[in-house]
Amino acid sequence: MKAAERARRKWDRAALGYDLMAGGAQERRWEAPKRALYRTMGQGRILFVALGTGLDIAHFPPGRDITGLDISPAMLKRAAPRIAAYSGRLQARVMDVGALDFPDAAFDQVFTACTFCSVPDPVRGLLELHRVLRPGGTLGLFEHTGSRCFPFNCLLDALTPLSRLVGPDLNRDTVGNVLRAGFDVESVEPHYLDIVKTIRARKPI
Amino acid sequence: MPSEQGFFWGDLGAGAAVGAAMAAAGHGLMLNVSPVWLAFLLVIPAGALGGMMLNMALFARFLGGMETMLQSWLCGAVGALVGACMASDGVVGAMAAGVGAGVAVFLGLRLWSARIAARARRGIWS
Repeated sequence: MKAAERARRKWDRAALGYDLMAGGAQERRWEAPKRALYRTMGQGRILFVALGTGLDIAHFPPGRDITGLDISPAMLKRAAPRIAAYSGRLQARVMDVGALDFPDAAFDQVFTACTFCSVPDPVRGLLELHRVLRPGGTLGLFEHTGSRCFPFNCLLDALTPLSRLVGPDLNRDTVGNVLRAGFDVESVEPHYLDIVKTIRARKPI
Repeated sequence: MPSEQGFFWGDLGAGAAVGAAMAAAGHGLMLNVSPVWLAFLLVIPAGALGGMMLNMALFARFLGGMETMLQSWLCGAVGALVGACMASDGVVGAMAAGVGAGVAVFLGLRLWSARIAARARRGIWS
């Protein structure tokens, strides 16, 4: 079975309990930095990767033109009421970030939260985002990543085989992956130790 | 909705509670397992695992599981070690020392986190 198909099945299974797992304290703890990231959504064409059950939609500024995508149809089915309640243009599509069905330079901005800890091939996904973003366009990510602190990263490495069964990898080098995909990293803002951070990057002109 | 300050006090309380509970466990392990070197060998991994499990069972719902995992792991391991080292002082003394260990770990992580954030503000992130 292909990695994308495995990921789709995993997140389809997770959809039922996802709001319970991610929508409680975790969502409240990171509400402020997520809102700060989404406040930079402009008036252009916006791609939001991994819409999930739509927990983040409440933090989007109103009146934007957003295309949301997720690999899991079950997630998007649960997101439908939140999508309908958004006071702007928000359309959702089932799609794998590693194989985007959009033309080159189709978007002015790309945003995502807690995604590249789970995507099977993160660099490939980020290369696709690089392709569909216009030159000079911005990428905003809120991510769990690995740590540069050796003992913590050992723990994260040890726990990742378990965490991968139900959701994310805990030890990804997402800042490095963003650079590998050809973006210029403009800022990295850590929120908790070195493992939860907002990454702002730009596609070079 | 807990504010940022609410999460600060919540994390602090969880760290102290995990430290105290694992100090009691470390104290018990030290009194009941022999030889001593085996007890010391067991106490850190058992404390780390116990701290994580306690955190997931009691605090994760209010504070977030993934976000407090590293703290609970460290508070549990250090608390259990402190409790084992205080085997001669009784369980209450060990638990009091465990509270101190949990608070110290929490403060250490906060300071380290602040240092990382300050470095990132200066553009140092790699």
